[in-house]
Amino acid sequence: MTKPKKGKQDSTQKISASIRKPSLSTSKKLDQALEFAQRNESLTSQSTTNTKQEKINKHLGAHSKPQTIYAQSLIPNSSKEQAILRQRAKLIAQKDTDQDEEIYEQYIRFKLGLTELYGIPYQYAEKILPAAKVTQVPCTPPIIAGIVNYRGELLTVLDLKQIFGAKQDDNLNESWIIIVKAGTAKAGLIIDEIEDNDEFVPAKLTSPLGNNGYIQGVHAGKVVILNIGSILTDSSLQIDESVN
Amino acid sequence: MPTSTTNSENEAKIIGIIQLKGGAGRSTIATNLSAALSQRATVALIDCDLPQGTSASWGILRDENNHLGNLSVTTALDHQALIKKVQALSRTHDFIIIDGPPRIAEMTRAILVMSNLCLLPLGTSAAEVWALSDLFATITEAKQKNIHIDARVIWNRYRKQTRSAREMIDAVHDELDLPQLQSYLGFRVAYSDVLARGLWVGEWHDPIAKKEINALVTELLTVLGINMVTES
Ligand SMILES: Nc1ncnc2c1ncn2[C@@H]1O[C@H](COP(=O)(O)OP(=O)(O)OP(=O)(O)O)[C@@H](O)[C@H]1O
Ligand SMILES: [Mg+2]
Repeated sequence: MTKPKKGKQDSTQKISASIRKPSLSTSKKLDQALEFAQRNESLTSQSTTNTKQEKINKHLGAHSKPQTIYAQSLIPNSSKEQAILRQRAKLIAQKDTDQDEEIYEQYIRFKLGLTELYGIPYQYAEKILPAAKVTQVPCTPPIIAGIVNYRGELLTVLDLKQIFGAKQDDNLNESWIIIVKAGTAKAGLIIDEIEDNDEFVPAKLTSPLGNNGYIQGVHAGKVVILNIGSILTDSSLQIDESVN
Repeated sequence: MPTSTTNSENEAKIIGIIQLKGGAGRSTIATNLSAALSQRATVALIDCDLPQGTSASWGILRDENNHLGNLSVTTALDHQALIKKVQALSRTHDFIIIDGPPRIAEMTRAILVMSNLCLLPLGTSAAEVWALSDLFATITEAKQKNIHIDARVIWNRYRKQTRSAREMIDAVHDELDLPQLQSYLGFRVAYSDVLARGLWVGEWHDPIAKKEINALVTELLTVLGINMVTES
């Protein structure tokens, strides 16, 4: 299966680590590294404050993994560790996919209401803000959650749950606004939990039941990929009027 | 076999690869870079992303196929272990490549400071830009303490033509004041193919991917101020 080509390397070429600029010696750098690592102000403050950024990161999977203690050995030293790593190597091998350069599109996956998974292709997503920033506008249809001041621009915020009839998750105490744009149209969409980055193959999307035109298709049988272009240009959503 | 260029007077150049968002391509870059450099120099690859250990697993596969050559692969559980290993390995290797963990912890802070150059892989997704902003705060903190840090963004899964790619680059300019490398990795299936087989793209049938990694190596050597010496 693997046919490694002979490397171009031979004894004629090697790297000489001759250094042009003077730099700190490694042991000085390592001392500095140890000190900086242990004077970790942000670590202690991070555990108490819980910034928006951290929440977003948490949503997106940048959370810390459980600390497991392993032997700090050079591999292959301990046969147990080696066996674990070997298993993982097999797992990586299975992840081997049939990705194609041309056909994948990246999207951001999120939850609406209790269970439903939705996706917005990255090309339409501009920014994610906490939903607390929405100002409600009286006498607008329920689909309009309000307006938000985004970089000095007043944008309409739509409540997608009203479009798709998704059940409200009452336990959820905060939501996000994702700023989307298509051409010159821009708006905010209220979303619940941000799940992850993912990729879908546009050609492999299946068509949804009862398509209302706001859906590009369904990815992997469970993620509804939104058609941001049609959501933003639909006059029944009254984006312009509500802002004015 | 390549001749070992054991580095007695000079110490190893340390290249750390960190990003707080998982899946951004740290292991892909760490493994390809290590193998590419090991064609011409002695390299130690330290996997600090445990228990996942993608780079270490890759190293095991590579060892099983007898491809290690001038490369040693090892792991470090915490920043103290890492510092000890770097201390020891820097006397016997030309390069030390560190695959960092996806969290701001002592380990990440140590890698930032000890590395001669830190690579921050960034895909063309907003989540990765945001994840970098936490890291950016740490870099700023270090700079305020007069610690020299050279951290540069490297684009991964880069697609020249797409709008989102260009916009993400703008976002990095706007939100994070970080230099970017010119070389990048495209979205190529070869990168997952080789990771799964303990290979690097130079040993695979995708000439474009190979060119991308070779260009990265050349750029890194320039940034690190290392001369390529041709011996007869
Ligand atoms: N340029 C690329 N083209 C195609 N696939 C890629 C590319 N870069 C990374 N991948 C694939 O994406 C997945 C994640 O990459 P990788 O393991 O390098 O990321 P990581 O940052 O180390 O992630 P983790 O948090 O899992 O350690 C792997 O399956 C890898 O093969
Ligand atoms: Mg990894």
